[in-house]
Amino acid sequence: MSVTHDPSAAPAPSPTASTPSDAEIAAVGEARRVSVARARLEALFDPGTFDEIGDRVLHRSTLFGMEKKQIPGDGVITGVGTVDGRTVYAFAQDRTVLGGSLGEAHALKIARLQDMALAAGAPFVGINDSGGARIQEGVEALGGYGEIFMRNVRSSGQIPQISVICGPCAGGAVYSPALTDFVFMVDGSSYMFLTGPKVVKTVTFEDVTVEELGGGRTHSEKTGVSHFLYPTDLEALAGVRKLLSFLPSNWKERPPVVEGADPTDRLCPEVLEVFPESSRTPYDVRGIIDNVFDRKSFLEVHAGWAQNIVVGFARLAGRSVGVVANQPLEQAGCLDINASRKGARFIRTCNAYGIPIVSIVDVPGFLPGCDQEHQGVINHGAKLLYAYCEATVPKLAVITRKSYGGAYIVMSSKHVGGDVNLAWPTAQIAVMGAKGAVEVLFRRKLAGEADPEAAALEAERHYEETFLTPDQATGRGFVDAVIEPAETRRKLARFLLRTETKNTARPERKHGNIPT
Amino acid sequence: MSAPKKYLVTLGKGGPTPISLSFDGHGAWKAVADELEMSIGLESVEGDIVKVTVDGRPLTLRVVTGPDGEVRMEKVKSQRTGGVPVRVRSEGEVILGSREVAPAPDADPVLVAPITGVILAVQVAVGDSVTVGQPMLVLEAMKMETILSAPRDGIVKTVNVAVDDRVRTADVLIELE
Repeated sequence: MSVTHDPSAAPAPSPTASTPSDAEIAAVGEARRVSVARARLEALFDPGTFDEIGDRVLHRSTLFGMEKKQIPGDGVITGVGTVDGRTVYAFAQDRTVLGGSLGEAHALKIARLQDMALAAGAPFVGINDSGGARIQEGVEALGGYGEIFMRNVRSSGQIPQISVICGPCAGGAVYSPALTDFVFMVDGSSYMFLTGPKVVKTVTFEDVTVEELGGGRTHSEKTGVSHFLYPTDLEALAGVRKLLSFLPSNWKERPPVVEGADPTDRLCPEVLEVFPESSRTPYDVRGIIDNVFDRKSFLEVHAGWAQNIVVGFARLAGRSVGVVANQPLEQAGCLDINASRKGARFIRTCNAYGIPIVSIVDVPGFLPGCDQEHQGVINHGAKLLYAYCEATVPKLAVITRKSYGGAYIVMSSKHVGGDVNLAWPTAQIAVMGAKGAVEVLFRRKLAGEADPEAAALEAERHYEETFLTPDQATGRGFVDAVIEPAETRRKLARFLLRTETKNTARPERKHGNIPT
Repeated sequence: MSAPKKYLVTLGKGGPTPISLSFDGHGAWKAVADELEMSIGLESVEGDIVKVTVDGRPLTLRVVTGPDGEVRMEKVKSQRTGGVPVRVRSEGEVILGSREVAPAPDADPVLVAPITGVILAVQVAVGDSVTVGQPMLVLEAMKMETILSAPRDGIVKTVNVAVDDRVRTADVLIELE
């Protein structure tokens, strides 16, 4: 089964973002030939707020006739403006100038802007559309990338960094986006790869198109390199604005609060329409997310990749929260390598920027099999565990149904620092399901019974009564309260407001050592 | 005079008209649409009431945002209600809003097992015509049912599994024509 990611179902674009008709495009005429870089910046920023920096910068290359190709600005527009009134620094590469290629001057304009953004504690957005390193400049171009990468890492966890890929992004250029917090791609017009189809063909004899090798769908569905995929530049940039609304300007600040949009004490009985009676039946967990969090606030991240876990930003009581939810619709909701990587990355992003995490747990366990084991699910699964353990932001969780084995521990349990752990009456918390457990526990005893099958069923029933309820966990204080599903929103919102002042001292060290 | 900014303006149900707007530096804009050239002066903005002059003639407009996010304008002394919907987009918005995407390739006509498990139900037979998203099989894996749906429209060519069969990840279960 595949729930195909439909980019058109991505977050509602602004009213101006609908696709223009042919007549409208014709009316613009030759406009595509003019710089779209400036138009992209205009679409990103509040109208009239962008101030350019360094528009007259020139390169100083004299090799291969470059001294005759001087264009002020050197192929990149850098500057600062506001998004919803908050300061944001951004660059946009201009493919109409020297192919948008990155040389020393071009790179140092970007690097200087990164320094300014970090000093100001403001988000940094890079709009990438470049042919790559400027070959005529040799090592100066390569060094330019290095200067940018170094600042990407220095800024990591201090200011939100967002990369928008609006055209080619190949070779070394891909590593700057990869080092930032979020990557946006545009379906059909952007691509990212280390080596292009021509080189791939000479080395591995694989015949592959640009789109298959590194297009928006490839990176949104197969690799997870891209967090968001939109049909057009305009919608992608509207998406960046929406994402920024969930993020603080820097790690010391709090994200903006949008109160009053949806009553905090609203009951959410609609979740029961989504949630099936049988514990074996799948359902779309997004139906629960939509009803529990502030209406229409959910912005899914990595919607097309590792769909057995759903992550994204939402609002609760107007506050920005990170939602992590198992998805029973895909792979039975099991955790696997990619789900663990996706969840871990999202949790660490939330923790870095002080965004509380709300987990919705319904997980039968980690996915068994040689494939997973041999690709290192131990280490990848440990990333998710590490991220939950490490996170010091408020961690709230609701177990709706299954929470078995190692996956129980990982998914924001009390033992890994869950602050508030709630459960629906349907919650089942155990080392494993009834059938497997009875086989292990009573194998010898059952073999001696007159009717082993009937005895096994009786043993399973007893096991289910004991463990397939939240009772044992509440008795130990590992689940704080059993709540009615309709109260989920109200309870989570109140606990969120009462934990948002949480302050946890972090142990002193250089940095932790997350498994890779 | 500043460099002209270009906009596409759609009035009511008419087609889009390109308009270029340039500021003359003395409080007025020059608007050029087709052969027409007008001088627009902004007098005042109070709430949704905008007072302008067009070639020196005063005009008072009420400008509100309509239900679909479009801007609606009406003359303030007009008998009409609701106003004319006006959609204004900058040239950049139109360029950036156009799709470059190639049509999506058709999904594979084969249904493969997404996870190892046991077939619980087979809901189609050879020769059935199915539409994309239509449930075809139910698979049990990890004590959970997984519903497997048609990846695209088509006619069922082969059904390679029956109830109680064990299947492994990536096994081809059903092929469509």
